[in-house]
Amino acid sequence: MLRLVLLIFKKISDLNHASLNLGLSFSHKFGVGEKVPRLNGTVSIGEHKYEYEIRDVQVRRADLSLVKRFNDYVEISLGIKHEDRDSGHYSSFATNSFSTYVDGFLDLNATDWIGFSYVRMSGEITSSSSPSPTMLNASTATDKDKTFERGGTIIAYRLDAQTDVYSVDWNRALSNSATFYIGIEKQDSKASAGINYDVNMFRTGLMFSW
Amino acid sequence: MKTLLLFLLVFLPSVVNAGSILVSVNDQYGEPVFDAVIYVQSINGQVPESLPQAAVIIDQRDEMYVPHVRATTIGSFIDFPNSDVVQHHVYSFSEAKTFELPLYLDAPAQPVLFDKAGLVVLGCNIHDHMRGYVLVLDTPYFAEVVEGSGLIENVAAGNLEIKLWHPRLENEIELSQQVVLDENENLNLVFDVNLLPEQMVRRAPKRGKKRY
Repeated sequence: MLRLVLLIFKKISDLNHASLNLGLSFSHKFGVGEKVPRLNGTVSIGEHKYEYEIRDVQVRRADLSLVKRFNDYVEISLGIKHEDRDSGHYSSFATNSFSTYVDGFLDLNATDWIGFSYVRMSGEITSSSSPSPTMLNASTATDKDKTFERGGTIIAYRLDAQTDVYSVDWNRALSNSATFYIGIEKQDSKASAGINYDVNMFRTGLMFSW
Repeated sequence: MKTLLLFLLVFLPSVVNAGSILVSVNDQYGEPVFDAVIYVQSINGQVPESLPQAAVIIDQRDEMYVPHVRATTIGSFIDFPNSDVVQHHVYSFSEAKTFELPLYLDAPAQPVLFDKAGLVVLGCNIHDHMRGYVLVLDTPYFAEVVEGSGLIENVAAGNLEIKLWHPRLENEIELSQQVVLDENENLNLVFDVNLLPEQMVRRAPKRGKKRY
């Protein structure tokens, strides 16, 4: 499995990046039939390249999920995922996390479906902000971050956090190998020392597969 | 010579006097229908006798069953070659035929015998989006509908019950018409059908999901 991802942020273009991921997958079905549950597993390694080198990371992921199709309309997955980000010299971007998730699909017709997911992630996040003693005390690593620098100093803090991610998308199959999607994502992070983040994203994209 | 005369005596009258039925099938939008099967269920109240068909094939190409719908007669063997470069695992849980052809490329070890009339729904255990249908019939008079038409040839004259089946007919109820077919007649018949929307496991990429 080879996956190329291009992410373009409309309001925070400093986060635009490209990633190339190479992975190995397996799938085991517990019997015969489309409603029989299956176990999917993937290990992958990816290089993520940003405009600023400080954010470049190598991402290693392991993902295990149990997938069940209930009928022609509904499929639900339960999974766990471990992610390890290695950032070379910039330890504030070297993070570890463990996630549990549930996601699924609701088919509307022959071409459209709704996708939804909920992820609970426990692990480290990186937050960039102006120098702050509170964040410095709560952080486990810091680096000077050029990404959002607009005249003042910006520090990237690595923080322990628990993050909830909710998302819902409307999808349309353009062909057997292309899908357009549009949706929203909400992230709630509760970091150490009472530092909380709330991120809302509107997202849209095209996916191709071969 | 005796055999030939006997053959002519027995079969020639029915062949010579046989008629044909050209069936046109349109959906609720006036579009020609694909993947339907039309067949003569009875002639003068009797189910006509059928013989097994030879060399019936359902191919697997581009992760699809080709054709999507196949009609055949009781006692026929169907071969399921795999023309893809990935393995397939053909199965059916249908009452008319339960079977499995576990993972294979190219050709399975042997064809599958369909020895009971009824509908057989095919799946692939690797590619959930693959679905196919075999309609096993106890009549020799049938045709698969392509681009809105199907032709049943060499049908004996009489009072006929013509049936139509399609995988997306509402409540899976077959439609039927009673017609009278005269000797040597070429009958035209029209079926207007209401089809349910197509609903099947999709192949298109999904966020966060790998292809099968």
